[in-house]
Amino acid sequence: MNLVHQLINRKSSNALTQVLIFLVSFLLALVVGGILLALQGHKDILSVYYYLLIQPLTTGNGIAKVLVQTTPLIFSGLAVAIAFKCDVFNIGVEGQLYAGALAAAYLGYALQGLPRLVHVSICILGAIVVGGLLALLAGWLKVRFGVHEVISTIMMNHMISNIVTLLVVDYFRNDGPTARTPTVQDSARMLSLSGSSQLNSGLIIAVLLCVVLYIVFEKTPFGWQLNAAGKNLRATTYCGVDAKRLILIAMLISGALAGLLGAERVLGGFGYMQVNFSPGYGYDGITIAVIAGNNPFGCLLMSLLMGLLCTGGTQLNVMTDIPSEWVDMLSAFIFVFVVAANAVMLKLPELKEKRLSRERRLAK
Amino acid sequence: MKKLLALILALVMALAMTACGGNAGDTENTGDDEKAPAIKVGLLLEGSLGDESINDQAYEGLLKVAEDFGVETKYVECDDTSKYIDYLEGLVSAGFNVICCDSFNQEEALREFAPQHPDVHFMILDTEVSDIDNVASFTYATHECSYLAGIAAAMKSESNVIGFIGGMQIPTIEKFQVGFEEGVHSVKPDATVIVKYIGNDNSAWNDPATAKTLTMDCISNGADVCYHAAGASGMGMIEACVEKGIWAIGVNIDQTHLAPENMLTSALTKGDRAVYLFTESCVNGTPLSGMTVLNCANEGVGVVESEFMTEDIMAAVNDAVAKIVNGELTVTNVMSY
Repeated sequence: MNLVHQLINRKSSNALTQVLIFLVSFLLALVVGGILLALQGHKDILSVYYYLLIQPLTTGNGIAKVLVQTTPLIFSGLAVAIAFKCDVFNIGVEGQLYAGALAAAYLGYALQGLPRLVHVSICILGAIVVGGLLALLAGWLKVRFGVHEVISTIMMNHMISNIVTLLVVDYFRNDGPTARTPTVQDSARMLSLSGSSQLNSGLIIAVLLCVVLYIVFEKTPFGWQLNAAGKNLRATTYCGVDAKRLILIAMLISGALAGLLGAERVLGGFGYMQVNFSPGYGYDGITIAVIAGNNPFGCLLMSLLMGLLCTGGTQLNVMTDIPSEWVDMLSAFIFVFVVAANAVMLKLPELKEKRLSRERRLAK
Repeated sequence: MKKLLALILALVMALAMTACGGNAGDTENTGDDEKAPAIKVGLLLEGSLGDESINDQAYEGLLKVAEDFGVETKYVECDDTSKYIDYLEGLVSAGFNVICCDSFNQEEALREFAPQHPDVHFMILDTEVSDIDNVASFTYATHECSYLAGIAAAMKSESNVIGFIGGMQIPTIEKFQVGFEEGVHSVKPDATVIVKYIGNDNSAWNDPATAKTLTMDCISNGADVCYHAAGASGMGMIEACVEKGIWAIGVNIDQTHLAPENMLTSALTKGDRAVYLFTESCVNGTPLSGMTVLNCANEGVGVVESEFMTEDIMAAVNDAVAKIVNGELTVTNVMSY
């Protein structure tokens, strides 16, 4: 197995090591980011980090904003993680979430007079089904024709987001300057958790899903199969597990989570679907899942951090002259350091083995 | 596996239930009661600086505002539609009390945000918002700058045939066309304006290939000056003009850099002027509100005085501007009914 596969399915049993690696990487990223700012002539680095990491958490409104940003990232992180678990790359979350969002928005405004429970359920189900089926298509292409899912899902991202844009602009468009669907019925709105922000019950769904997926991964035969398949797909097949079925199911769930992300944004966040609303949730999910080592709770924590960086980045942009791209760079540093540290950890035994054998040879 | 699916289904139902309580959102009033003494101007950009379009233009206005009124200014770049409100809120909480939004895409966010902050003055470009007291919106008298461009085109033309490339045939663009034609005919009543439209759907704004073909068609029919109102498709027209060595006229911003040797002038819609006028009104204590048209009278539209605009052309243009301003001359606005 090559290094990439080992990296995305590294043994998560040693959680403490992973947490340590993360913390060191995080601090290192802050230091490097600080040095870069200092080189650009910024003097007050500490206040930069205050605005980025502390200030958003000092007000209730700020915390709500962080959680708003966190919610979709949790879904996206989990969606990528479950595919990674069984060694499949779902790069297509970005497209699947648009399809799910459009489904939720359409069902949300076209259906009328339903009780809230039924209406929200139908919208969420619609989004899950659409997202899931699209991911399943990529999975099917893989198991049936051997089309690599990275290729097919990236291609499908472009296709789906353009088709969705076309549908919104030409068929489901609301009158007005913005290219978006009409607002969904009140009966299709998720429960708002804070009056002034987009925070909604989607967050509760996301956190519950973390718990559920943790239980599925750790305590069920299916989770065991996924784990085994992630470690070595071929060996798992020889153990009598239907790997193709496993891949299809993992993709289906992954796509369903992406659809759920879209539904949360539409039913809980905006109340409508606007074209190109995603700032790249699907790709952030990959970062999150890799750093979290596919651990659902790791995804949750990582999403919280990314949500904080996102909110703090806005604050930083307003309070100082530092562009929000600097914040993107910071999270990229964290990613690179975590991956590098893990790569070294993975290679270490191998290198040690090589040195030992060389020494043995020399000794002879 | 069925168990898993059943679990997920049950979960969805349960979660939908939690999603279905009454929405007891208490709207919290974040507006400050104390009067902010000094004026601080914030500018919300759609995307980033360096777009050589609306963002750079609005930023230019902001720089001028800082220079002329000595007020504190700040721009923020936002490429994420879901964060417009966060940025607006950030600006307001940082004490900015005059806030300019440079794109019609920000209207939705502004409509939601502005009413909650009655003591802050907002403006937005290129769209119409007239129902919120503390929001001013600016639109452009594009027929007037097109008229001026028409004068320049007619005076520069030797063949007396002039091309017009429009994106979609909708009133917004016909406003350019009719203004332009009137400008041409005011100089040379018997000159021909060949009018071509690219398409009937939104792809017309981003179809330089068709624009180029249509321009070539105009040129083979004798056109030696072409003007466009076709968004990104205009690139195709400019390309054709460069290839055939005829004059091109740009639109919205100074497009000289796209064809330094062939760009006669550009019909300007000055977003920077809107930022300036709005800030000026706030500094004077009489903030604009409702809809304002940027026209010749308030220098909100105009043409670029390039090196190719000879003295007699500029004299004719300035004369027309003066006549439009004092009401002697009215350019037909196809949308004014």
